Amino acid sequence: MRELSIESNGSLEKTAVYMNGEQLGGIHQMMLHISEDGDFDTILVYEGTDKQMYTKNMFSDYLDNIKKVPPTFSEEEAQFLRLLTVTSDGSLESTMVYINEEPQDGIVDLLVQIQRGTPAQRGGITTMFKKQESGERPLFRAEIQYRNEDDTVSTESVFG
Amino acid sequence: MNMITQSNSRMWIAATLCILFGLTLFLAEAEAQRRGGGSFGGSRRSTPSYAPSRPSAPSSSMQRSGGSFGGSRSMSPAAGNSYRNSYGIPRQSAPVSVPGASSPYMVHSYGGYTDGLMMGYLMGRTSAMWYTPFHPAFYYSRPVYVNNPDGTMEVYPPTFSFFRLFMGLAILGLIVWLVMRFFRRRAGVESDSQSSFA
Repeated sequence: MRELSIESNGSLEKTAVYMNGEQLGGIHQMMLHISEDGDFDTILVYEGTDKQMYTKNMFSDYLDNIKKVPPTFSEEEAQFLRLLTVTSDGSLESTMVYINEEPQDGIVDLLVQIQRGTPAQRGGITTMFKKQESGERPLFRAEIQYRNEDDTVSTESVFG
Repeated sequence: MNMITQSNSRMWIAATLCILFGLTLFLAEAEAQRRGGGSFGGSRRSTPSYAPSRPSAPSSSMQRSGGSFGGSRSMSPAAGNSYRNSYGIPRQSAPVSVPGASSPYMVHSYGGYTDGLMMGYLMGRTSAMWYTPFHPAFYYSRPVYVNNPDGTMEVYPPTFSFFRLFMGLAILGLIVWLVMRFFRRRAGVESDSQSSFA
């Protein structure tokens, strides 16, 4: 059973990812899509300590050479952030979701997609003479869908 | 974090070495031009101690500059002919009194920007900017001095130097690269310093 936590205020600059309580670094992209229909996509793309890129399943794969960094947020800063925690062993049945340590139920769909942008051009002066290639744009999407008691579905932003 | 810091340090050291290498090449070329075979260069001496020991040049020509401004090496008349052959007939040739010289120099003008440079060097009216890539004078050689057998001195204007052009471009490119790198890194560090996505 692994515990993935995301602490954020909704902006990429203020987002920390923890795995079993340890803050991770070097993450390029993460995709967390879990739905009651059986979708269970938990992909993490990161640059390892050996400068190699890895694409792993967050809950079932061993995270080779993942960078672990000291916690960056102080307690004062954390007061202005929301904490999403997912515990799972890789199966939908065993998955629990917490927001600010409160267990959630009635979830229809959870989607967290965070992507770090890449520079539009690299390579120095030669790029002045080449057509610019657009890099990946930063992306931050975190939504959760609940089924209400009246059977309607409402969508909320995870990090407010 | 330490690896990143070490990597940054290595890149800065490499960039600094590149600049130093470029400057060394340029200074070596400038020094070689200034020395012109070992007789010139360095700072001015109060007495022209080199004059008696110079074997080929007539004594009158040795007074052309008092040994002060480290211009180009004085060339033989044959070299002057070669220069004339390559440049053609001067637009104007006139004797010009040069500070520190006992007899006027025959200055050959071909028109254009190099005439101004030549007069600047002759009169000693240069500035430190001339030795930086930010001034057009950087991309030209020094004036060419030709010793004639009769003791007169001829002066030809500077010529464009492709070596200096490449050096200037390299130095300017390095400066631009370093500035861009500095700002890019600063922006990156400030925006992502607290993020796992840094």
